[in-house]
Amino acid sequence: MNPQIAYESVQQTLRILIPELIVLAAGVAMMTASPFFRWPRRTWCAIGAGALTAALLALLAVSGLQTDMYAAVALNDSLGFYGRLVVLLSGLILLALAHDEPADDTAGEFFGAFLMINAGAMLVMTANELVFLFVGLELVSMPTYMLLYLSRRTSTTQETATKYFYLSIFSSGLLLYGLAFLYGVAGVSNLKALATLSWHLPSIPHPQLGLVAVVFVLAGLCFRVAAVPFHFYAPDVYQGSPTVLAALLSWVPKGVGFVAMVRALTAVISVKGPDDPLVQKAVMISWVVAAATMILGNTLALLQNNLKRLLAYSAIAHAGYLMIGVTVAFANGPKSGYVYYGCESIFFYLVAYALMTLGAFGVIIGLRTAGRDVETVEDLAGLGFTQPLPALALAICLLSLSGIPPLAGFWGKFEIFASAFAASLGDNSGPFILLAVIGVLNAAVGAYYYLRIVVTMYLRPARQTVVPRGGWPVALAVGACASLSLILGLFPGPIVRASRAAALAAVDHSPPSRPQVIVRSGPSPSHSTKIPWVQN
Amino acid sequence: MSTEFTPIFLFLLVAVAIALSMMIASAVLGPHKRTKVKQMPYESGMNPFGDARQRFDVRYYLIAIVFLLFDVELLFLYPWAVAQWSGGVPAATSAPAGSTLGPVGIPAEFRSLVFWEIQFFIVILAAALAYAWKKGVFEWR
Repeated sequence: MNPQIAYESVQQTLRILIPELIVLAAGVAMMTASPFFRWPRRTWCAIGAGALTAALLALLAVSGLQTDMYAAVALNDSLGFYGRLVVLLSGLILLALAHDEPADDTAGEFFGAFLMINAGAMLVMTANELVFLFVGLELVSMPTYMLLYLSRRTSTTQETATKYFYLSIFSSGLLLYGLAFLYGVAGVSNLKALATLSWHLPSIPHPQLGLVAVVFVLAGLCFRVAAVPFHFYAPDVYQGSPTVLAALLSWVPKGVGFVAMVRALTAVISVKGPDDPLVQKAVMISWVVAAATMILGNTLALLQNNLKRLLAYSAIAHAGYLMIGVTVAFANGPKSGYVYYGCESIFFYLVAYALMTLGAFGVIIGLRTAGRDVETVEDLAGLGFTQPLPALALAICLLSLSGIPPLAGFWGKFEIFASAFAASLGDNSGPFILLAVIGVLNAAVGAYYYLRIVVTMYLRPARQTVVPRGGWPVALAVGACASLSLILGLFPGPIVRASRAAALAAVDHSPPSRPQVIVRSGPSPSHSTKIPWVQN
Repeated sequence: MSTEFTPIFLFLLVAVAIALSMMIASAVLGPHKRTKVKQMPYESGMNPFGDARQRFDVRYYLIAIVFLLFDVELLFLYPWAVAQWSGGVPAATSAPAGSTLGPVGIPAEFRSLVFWEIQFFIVILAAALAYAWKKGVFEWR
């Protein structure tokens, strides 16, 4: 590519990244300004909300712009646009939940780091390049360490922050190692080009290296989404950190991790079709991860009495359901009829999951009992009579988490299981049907511990007085989550269409519009014979 | 499998072999006279005092982190300073197809963009320094 076209591509990319730049600039400015200005936390929170709103408007303004998919590091395709929209809206909800959390003297850093997390998550949604993807993921992780440490200086919080810090760094190392191998598979770092090159080749040249890449990238991302065998930090970290950070950890890294899996793994690997040995191995690995995660998360959640710990195991279980979608997405290449069904169900489920988990955590944030936070299931006894509205919101979110119609979680699980029933590797659809059956059984097990909370709220007498706190922002955020869970369950159409468009965009490998604009390592195989590893 | 990396592996092999052979040779051939002075820990010529396992003041780490600011800054600024105005073929006479940005240096199209990006980078580093200053990192109380 000559410098002229490269420059145009950089300009286009910067233009579509304006929302991220706004959020990031606001975050950096808040961090820098925080020791110089003694403002109350309300002011800092308002600045953060203003930055997110400005980014939302900027995102709508750039929604029509596109970049060249084989030259640019960021894409504003349907996945990039809708993903960033979801991140910004959920960011506003999280900001409302967090508005009362930090002390006044650390509020600037707290909300600055919060904005950086949002910017990183938005970068991952658009990422079309391995290094760019990694930068986005780190921009989510690093401010998270700070938030975990900033919030409270107790020994529990410090233990939590240390635990998360070391494990997260370890997983970043695994991920980076895997990304290096993914680059080595085809010699390009542009993900669309990587997929197109593998599509044009008769078979992937070094399937062993491809397998190493799949294993390590999956391992690194499994930490972020809290899937087995990298789940073990989640209960301790959720329980030890402030509730609002548990809410953030249960949603942001999970959404980001699954989109990264789609962008970097399933959309790239699955193009070979179900007959390729690498695809079959990838399906096998994610099958095992999905089944183990679901079973372990749901089984251990049955034993929990602490609410945050219970929701942590529930988050693990939901990572398992989403891993079913990943398994299906691996198997559905463009050679089979239903290319995007696996990705589509992942995206729909992520939106539904964001609403229901943020709503459930939000109710816990918004309640206090006897001078302390609400901690155990027993603390909620009789809530249906003493605090009917929060109890109703929590009930809706929990029923949605357990997948009861007509709520959003039902359609999420429906799409996931339907995609698994429709999938096959060649003629062999047995493993997918087995996986779907395991999923359905797990959903039934999961309904038990969610309903246990609902029963405690409505059928037990109240023990101690529970008072609301947090004011209108928390109430508004929780109300929005609960009512959207219901509305989305009644009218799933718009989100289904959006996630279908996003899934189509994720697996789109149309030939380059301008033949000379192609990745660094060599011209496209469609009009040239020079491919780095083929010449030997 | 290509043979492109054979020289690198050979180089690694030779480097490790030389290092190992030196250590083995000195262990086997060298005289072993253990005197008390020779058994002391080496402290650049001073007599050692105290325990090696002492704690450092936590402020030392803060200063070390602030040092990283300038360390990373230099890491970026030296290559940039070399590349900014040198080389860079005009777009029309660009290098053969397939190569990316010409032989050396920053192409003319990118010069102002890269220049302002670096200025922005320095401003962010300065902001970090101002933050650390205001937070009292440099006051050794």
